[in-house]
This record gives sequence, C-alpha cells and structure tokens, in this order.
Amino acid sequence: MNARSLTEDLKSFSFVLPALAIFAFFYIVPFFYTFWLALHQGTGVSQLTFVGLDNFKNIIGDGAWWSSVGRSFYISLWALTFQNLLALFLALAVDRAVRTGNIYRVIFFLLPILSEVIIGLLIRRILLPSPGVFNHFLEQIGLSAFVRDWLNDSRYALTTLAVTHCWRGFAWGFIILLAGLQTIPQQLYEAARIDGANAWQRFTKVTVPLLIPVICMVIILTILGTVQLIGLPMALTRGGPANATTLAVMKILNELRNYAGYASAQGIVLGLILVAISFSMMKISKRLNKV
Amino acid sequence: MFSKRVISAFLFFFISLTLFSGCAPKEEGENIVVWHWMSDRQDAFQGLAEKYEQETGVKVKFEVFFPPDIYMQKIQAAAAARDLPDLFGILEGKKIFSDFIEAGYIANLKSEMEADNKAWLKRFIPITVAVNSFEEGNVYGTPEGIYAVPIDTMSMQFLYNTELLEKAGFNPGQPPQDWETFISMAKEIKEKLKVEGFVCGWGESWLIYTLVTNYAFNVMGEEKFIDTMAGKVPYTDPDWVKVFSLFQDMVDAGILAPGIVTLSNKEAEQMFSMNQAVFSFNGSWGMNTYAQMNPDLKYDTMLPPQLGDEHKIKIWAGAGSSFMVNPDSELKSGTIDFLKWFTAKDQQLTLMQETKNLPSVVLNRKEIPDFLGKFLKHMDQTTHQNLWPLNEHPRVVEAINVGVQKLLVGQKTPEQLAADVEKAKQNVSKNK
Amino acid sequence: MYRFKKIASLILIHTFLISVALTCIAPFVWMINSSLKTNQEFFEDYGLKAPQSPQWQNYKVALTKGKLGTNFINSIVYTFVGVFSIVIISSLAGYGFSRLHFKGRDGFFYLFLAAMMIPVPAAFVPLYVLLKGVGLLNTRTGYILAMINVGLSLSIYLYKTFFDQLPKDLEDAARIDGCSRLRIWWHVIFPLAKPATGVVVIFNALNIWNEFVLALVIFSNRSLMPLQVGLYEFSSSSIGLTSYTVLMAGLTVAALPIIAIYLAMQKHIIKGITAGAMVG
Repeated sequence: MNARSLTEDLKSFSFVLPALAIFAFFYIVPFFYTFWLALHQGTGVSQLTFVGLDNFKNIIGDGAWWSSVGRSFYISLWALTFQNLLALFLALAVDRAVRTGNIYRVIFFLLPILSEVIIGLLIRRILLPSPGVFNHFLEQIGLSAFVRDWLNDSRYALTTLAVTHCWRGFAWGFIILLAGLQTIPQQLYEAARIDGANAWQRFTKVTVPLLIPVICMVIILTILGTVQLIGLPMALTRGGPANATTLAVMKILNELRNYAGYASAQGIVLGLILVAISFSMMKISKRLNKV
Repeated sequence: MFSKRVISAFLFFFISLTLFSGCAPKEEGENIVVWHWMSDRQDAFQGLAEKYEQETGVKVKFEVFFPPDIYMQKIQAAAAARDLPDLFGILEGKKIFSDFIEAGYIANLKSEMEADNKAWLKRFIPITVAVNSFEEGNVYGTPEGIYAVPIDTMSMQFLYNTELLEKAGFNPGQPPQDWETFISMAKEIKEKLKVEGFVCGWGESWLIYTLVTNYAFNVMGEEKFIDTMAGKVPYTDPDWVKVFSLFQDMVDAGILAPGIVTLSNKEAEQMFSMNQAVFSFNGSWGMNTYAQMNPDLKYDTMLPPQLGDEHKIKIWAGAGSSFMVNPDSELKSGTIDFLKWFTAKDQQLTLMQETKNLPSVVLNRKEIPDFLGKFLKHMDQTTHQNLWPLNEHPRVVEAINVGVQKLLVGQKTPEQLAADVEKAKQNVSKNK
Repeated sequence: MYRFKKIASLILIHTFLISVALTCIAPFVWMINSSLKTNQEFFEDYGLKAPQSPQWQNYKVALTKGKLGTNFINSIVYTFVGVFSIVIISSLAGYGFSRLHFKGRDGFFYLFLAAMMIPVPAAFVPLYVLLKGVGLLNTRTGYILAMINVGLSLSIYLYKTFFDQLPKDLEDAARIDGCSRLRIWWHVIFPLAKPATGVVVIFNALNIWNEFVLALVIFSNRSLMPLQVGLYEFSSSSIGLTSYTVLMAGLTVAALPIIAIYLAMQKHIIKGITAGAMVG
C-alpha cells in the first residue's frame, strides 16, 4: 500500500483527469446549482427565496408527482417484460439461424437510429382517430373488435406509449442478449442433451444461469432508459389526455417554467430513486453470479 | 478499416476547423442582434433587416430559435449570464414579464414612446401597447411604464367554415349568435355532412384556459371573475360550474373532434383548413397556416356564441408578439431607432403581407386585405390577461386545464372539476 | 419426424423474425416514400401509397431552401470530433479505473455512475454562465465539450468493465519490458478494445447526431447549429409547415449518415457488447 508513491498516484490519476475535468465543469457545477436551486422557491429569473428542505417536503405529498413517477415505472415494467422478453425471443431465434443472423441485427437496429420524435410523430399519424389509419387496418384484417381510440382514451394512451417505446427500443436489449447467448459454449448444451435434458430444461439450467449478469445489465439500462423518456411522449400525445401520459421527466420540465426550485428538487428525488435501484441491481447481480 | 493515416488526417482537419472557430466570434460591434422564436417569420424579418441596412447602413441580425419552450430556456440562461441581445421577445405571462423587469433585463420605453407629443405611441392600436404596460400601483410592484413594443396584433375568435354552413342549408352570413343555436347547428351539420362539429388544439392547455376566461366574462361578468382570482369567490360557485358545463354540453352533443384532448394547435389548424370541421377556436396567427394549407378555404370569424345576455362575452386581443430592449445593450439608442423604423407604417404593411399577421399600428381599413380583416372584428369586446389587475396562480390554471381535459374524456363532471379547482386554489392560498 | 419438426420450427422462427423485421423497416420505407410525393398526394393518403412520379426535387429544396447544408456539415464535424474525443478520453479513464491505482479511485468511478442517473433539469442556466465565463459560449469547441460530457459516464462504464475482463498477463509482459503506462495503453490495451470502442462510437454518434436542445441554448449563430436544430426549425417555417414531403426528404437525409456509421461499426459493436455483457 505504501509502495505507491505520490508521483505514481498522480501519474495514474492523470489518466482519469481529462474526463474528470470536463465532468466537473459540465456536470458537477450544474449539479450543485440544481441542488442549490432545490433549496429555494422562485422562477429562476429572479425572486429566489430560501426555503430549506420545504420543496422536498412538499414532494412527499404531491400526488400528481408520484403519479407521473408511477407512470414512468409502468412503462419500465412494460419494457422489462414485453420489450426484453421480445428481445430475448428474438435473440434466441436469431441464435439458431446463425447464417442470416447478421441481416436481422442490422434491421432491428434501424429503429433506435430514428429519433424518438420522428417515431412518435409517425405513430401518432397512424393512430389518430381521423383518418384512423391503424383502425382501418384492423378492420381490414377482421379485428374490428379491437378498434379503439389508442391515443386519446386515457385507459389506453399510456399503454400505447409503452408499446411504442418497447417496439422502438428492443434492439438494444436484443443485441446484448444475443451476444450473451452466443458466448455460451455449445458443449454445455451438448452435455445437457446427453444427460437427457429437454429443450426447456436446457434453457432453464444452462442458458438462464449463464445469462444472469447480462440480464441484470439489461434491466438497469432499461429502467434508466424508460424513466428518462421525454421526446417520445411529447411527440406522441403531448402528455395527454389529461396528463395520462405525463411521465416524470416531462412533469419536471413543465414545472421548471414557473417553479424552478421545485422542479430541481423533483429531479434530485428521481435521481436518488434511480441510484438506489441501480446499485441494488448491481449488488444482486454480484450475489447471483457467485451462486 | 480506415488506415490510421486517413483517420488522423480527417481528425487534424476537423479539429483545426473546430479550434479555428473556437474563439468566440467577434460580435461585430456594429450589429444589432435580435432573438426570437417565430420561425415562420424569419424570412420576412431578414428581408426588412436588409432593407434597413440599405437605408441606414446599420446591420441588424435576426436569430430564430425554435421551439418556443427552448427559446425561453435560452432567454433565461442568457439573462442569468447578462448576455441578452439588443432586442428580444419573451413568451410568458405578466408575472415573468415583471420578474425580468425587476431584474433589470428590460428597458422602460415610456419616455421614448411619449416623446414628441406621443408620436411613437400614437401609431399603435391601444390594446397592443396596453398589454405591454404596467400601471401605477400594479400588483407586481413594477414601476409604471411601457416595456415592450408590439409588432403585431392578435385576437382569438371562433371560426366557422362558410362553405360547409351553406352546404348544410344555413345562411353563411348568419353564424350562430347564442350557445344553444351553436350546439344544434354544429350537431346538424355534423350529421348532414359527416364533418366534425368543433375542433381546437386542446392538447395545448392555454387554449382551454383562454376559452374558459372568455365564457367566465359572459356568465358572471368581469368583476366576479376578477374577484374569484382574488380569492373572494370560490370556484365552486354555480356560475363557474355553469362555465365548465359548457364543455360538457359539447361533449354530450358529440360535436367535438375525436381526440381533441391531445390535438396540437397545428393539427387543429390542419383539420380546419381541410374542411374537416365546421367550427373552431383559434388566434389570428392561424391565418397564415390556413392560407398556406388551403388557399381556397372559405371561413369567417364570429364571437364565441354567448350564453345569456346579462354580461357580454369578451375575446382576448392584444399584441401577438412584442420586442423588448436590453437596457445594458451598447447599441441601445440604435436599437430603439431600428424599432421605431420597424414599426413604421411601411414596414408593418410589408410584414402584414408576408407573414399574414395583423399589424400593430393603426391603418386604414382599406389597407388591410379582406381575409385579414376577419380577425379585426369585434375589437370593442376584447380583454387580455395582461390587462387584468391580477392573474390567476399557475397551479390553479393548471388545475383548470387538466380538469377540463379530464371532463372531456369523461373522467370528471363539471361539479367535480369545480371542486378540484377550488381545492387547488385553497392549496395555493395556504402556501402564500 | 425429427426432420419435419426441425423444418417446422425453422419456418416458425423465420416468420417471427421477418414480421418483426418488417415493422422495423416500415418507418423508413414510409419516410422515403413520403419524401418522393407531392404535397397533395401526401395529404390524401398520408404517405401510404406509392407516389405517382418520384419528386426528387424535394431533396434539393430541403438542402437549399432549408439551408440545411451548413447544418449538415456542422453535425458531421461535431459528431466526428466529439466521438473521437470521447473514445480517447473515456478509454483512458476506463483504463485508469480498471487497471491503475490511486487514492479515491473507486469513489470517482461511482461518481461517474451516479451522474448517469441523476438528471439536472436546470443545467442550462449554469452551463450558459460558465461557458460565457470562459469565453466558450457560441463556439464549436464549447458545444463539443458539452457533448463529450453527455457521453462520458456510459462510455467510461463500458470501457472499464471491458478492461476488467482482459487478461492481466498482457500488461505484465509490457511492463517488464519497461513500457510506461501510456505506452501500454496505446500499444496493448486500446487496440484490444476495438469491440468496446465500437459500442462507444455508435452510442455517442447517435446521441450527438440527434441532439438539439443544448445546441439551441449554447449557439446563437445559425451557421453553427447542427442538423437537428435546422430540421426542427424547418418543420415550422413557412415551407416546412405546408410541405411535409420536403420535410420528409430532410429527415431522410438526416438519417443517412448515422445508418452509414452503424453499418460500418456493426461488426465491432456485436463483439463489443458481447465482451462487455459477460461482465454485467
């Protein structure tokens, strides 16, 4: 331990220095400003009054805020299940069809390339009740029972948003899971088959355990990605109808205009929640890995 | 893939390009810089800037930043850094306006306006200046004065499609004068012609609040409305429930365009220009969109159909956009000179023709093309939130807007909506 | 019987894959299709039917009238320089966190991680003031530095976990030979990091290319703005409002370079995520 001299430490530290310098300037300072703002009330242009932890206290009882957080996590749930299961199935499927696998990798990734806003606007065009492109399509293929007002019915709007997000984003999960699958040595499957295991048993006893670290990483990235969603809901439904699709970050941005301090506090609360979730996921991942 | 050489060469090129422009561009001291968000008028503005340069040799640069939300963020950031340009506009209510003034970011132009026997001031249509002024003893504590110069006039009115009206057998010169007629007419035309009865961009909440205030004036009168904001009358008052019930009427009659709750103003404008709805509610800025989307659109304006005759309904009218002068600008007097030129009759005429917005200066009725004149009707029955002695708290406005949206999707009744709004009002008063 | 099962499952799998793939290509096809129509056609069927005759001039209009040419070049510069810088800076830092030791190493690393999760909504105000203070406001350098910061946390995380996986003997051999840390990094570690670099490149390229909020706040000069700002504004200008088809042409043009980068980086990416994923 004492073998490390100061100059050695400094030399090592210098590797991290450029990143740290930029980070300090562009994140740390704004973060302290945000934190300082969170302790005040006001518009951010003038008239800032110090209120201590009042903003944080008010957040606790703010039903509208927690609803928006809940909505963000609802979308996360969809993403964690539907999106990642879809990604998993696709990865499993492509894993088998190795020859054409490459083409699919490319095609699936085309979606995240288009910005959220474009996808949102496009889907909105299709789902709008007039001209009702999607509903028309449903009727044509005989599914008129499913015709709904997907965007404007508050029962369905949030789910529509969730599905759209899953569709757009599954490619990332797909690629990561596929990579994970392809690093599982074939011999393990062979050995399991010889032992008489059927497909399901091979999946649960070989595939899943070895995929745990990958799965944990995907879970963390999924949650981070969905909770910070802003462009897609804005383009798809503008947070409507009646706030049915107003997610946490959108709420913060709305608040920012008139209540900068309060919005900053909300941002910090949200961030702390995410930190807590991510770090616990990582702990769980480490523990499961040891098994 | 690429050889290291090639990559290094590219990088050298790009980095030097970057570093070369890395120093802050020498802000040409002679340039007057104007910031705004009106992307559809940028070309017209630049044309006028060039004309000004030809006439006076002074360079003016218009920079546009769209969308408006981010424009306001930029303005706030620049204000905090004392980096505001010579001329700029802001987009929020009177409270933020007064905050900016208080912080010293906006110059008081009262003396310039009133110089020479009010030469400059007299040019303008009075309400356009009124919304940019603060009276003596105003509730915000702002010193009396005129703080921005209007460059156009706007009004928000009901619109109706004359062609559709006629097709359905009604007289296009006689739009519905009262609420019941409006509802039944919209219903009938919808059934006959298979178009929507009413469309409006109610995904953008401020359009809801405007209409709510219009009808508040109609149902309870200006005084009671102001009293409500002052906290003397609760929102659960039957008059308020009546106002909210008007929205319920529209829902019950089935005349609202589907999905009206998430429609943006632009989408509503598109529907109306495509003859897909017979009635709408919009501001004069929409004329440009309508003209471009469908030059053959036949429409006219009308007052929102009144409910009862006791109090007159009032529509919002005032300055559409206004420019403010940065008091710390080094080119302050040059900027003010430019502003005076910009709001002179010739330039206003040019702007009117190119951007299809109503001028803020008084012109002969003959000089205004017919289709623009539509929004100049009913100017004797106008109001504007900047003219009221006080404004409602943003949280309460939000409660009204979200509440109406909930009503429109059937989640709340007018009574429940009124109760929710009153609760928000109580919360806000408590925290004061 | 087994044969039949195998073929049947293959058909099922491929049908599944193809149907999903089709939904992924659909938006692009729609976009390109719309960009080649006239405005009238577009309004009639919302771009769902083929155009009567392809309107290539939409592209010309988009690039010239929309003044998108300068913005396009700006975006290329920002993306290129930004990505390159992030790769260098974050791989250096990733190596530092992974293989080197200094006081507070882990603390700093967790700092970067936490930054990924805590949003700073009002950041534009202090950013503006800071940049103005050091004279980097409204400059390309200032913007690129801001963009580098945006991608730092994730890139460092990726590099670090990848480096953690590399066998230690490689470096030991180089160290015995007397190489300094920097030379080890440049000659041994970095070349091996190609897969991780692939991921970092495409991820940051995508972010920088699609960015527009910070650009609007930092830049006051239209000629410095990136493509997305130009597009957004164009969509609301007098041409864009009415000519959706020209807008579509603009959007297609905007998407092409990213697709090109992705195709180029594709091989590396798959390898990169593979290695990174196994660490979790």
